[in-house]
Amino acid sequence: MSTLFILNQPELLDDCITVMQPDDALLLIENAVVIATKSSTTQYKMFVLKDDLIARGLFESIHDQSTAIDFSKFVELTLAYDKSVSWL
Amino acid sequence: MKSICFIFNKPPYGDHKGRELLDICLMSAAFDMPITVIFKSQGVYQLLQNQQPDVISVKNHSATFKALDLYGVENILVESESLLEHNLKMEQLLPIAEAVSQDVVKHQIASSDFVIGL
Repeated sequence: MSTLFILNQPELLDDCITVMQPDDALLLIENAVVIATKSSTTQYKMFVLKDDLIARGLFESIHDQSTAIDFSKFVELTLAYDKSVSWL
Repeated sequence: MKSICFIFNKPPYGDHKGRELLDICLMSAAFDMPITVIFKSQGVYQLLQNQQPDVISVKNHSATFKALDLYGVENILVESESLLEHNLKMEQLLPIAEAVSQDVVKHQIASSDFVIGL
């Protein structure tokens, strides 16, 4: 079962990664989008919500390791994975 | 039957999340779906014995963890890597959980239909 982990608090990134499996993915939203502006060591697929980046003036400084997505792609992602987990 | 997995990953009493998640666990137990409760990261502190939150005038929910067994929730796991990281021993914890490795935790989360952490 593949899982889409949705993260909205940057400080919980490491905690979240400890439970991820190879074919899981990470979706950064709200404040966690700041993670997408740095090169990250995680080998997981990383998506980031475009509007939250634009809202924070971070859209240009996105790192190429993450893929910016809009809300409709967000919905698509929740269907592409077996389940979604909001990591709080 | 859909399975559900609850994850405690925060210390108790700084916020009400631990107590609220425990309430959710007990309510879910009423639906007799397969339930797993996991304590990892700083959530291992939730199970420490002799907590006395009355000194900071907060309600003690740790005694209520024993109700999980009463409600038929038997799969209660604590992540041994987290115990090590926070140098706690099983003897210091309420005797309700089984120590398992991070891989077991990962597999449990991956195989559960619903996963709720708070």
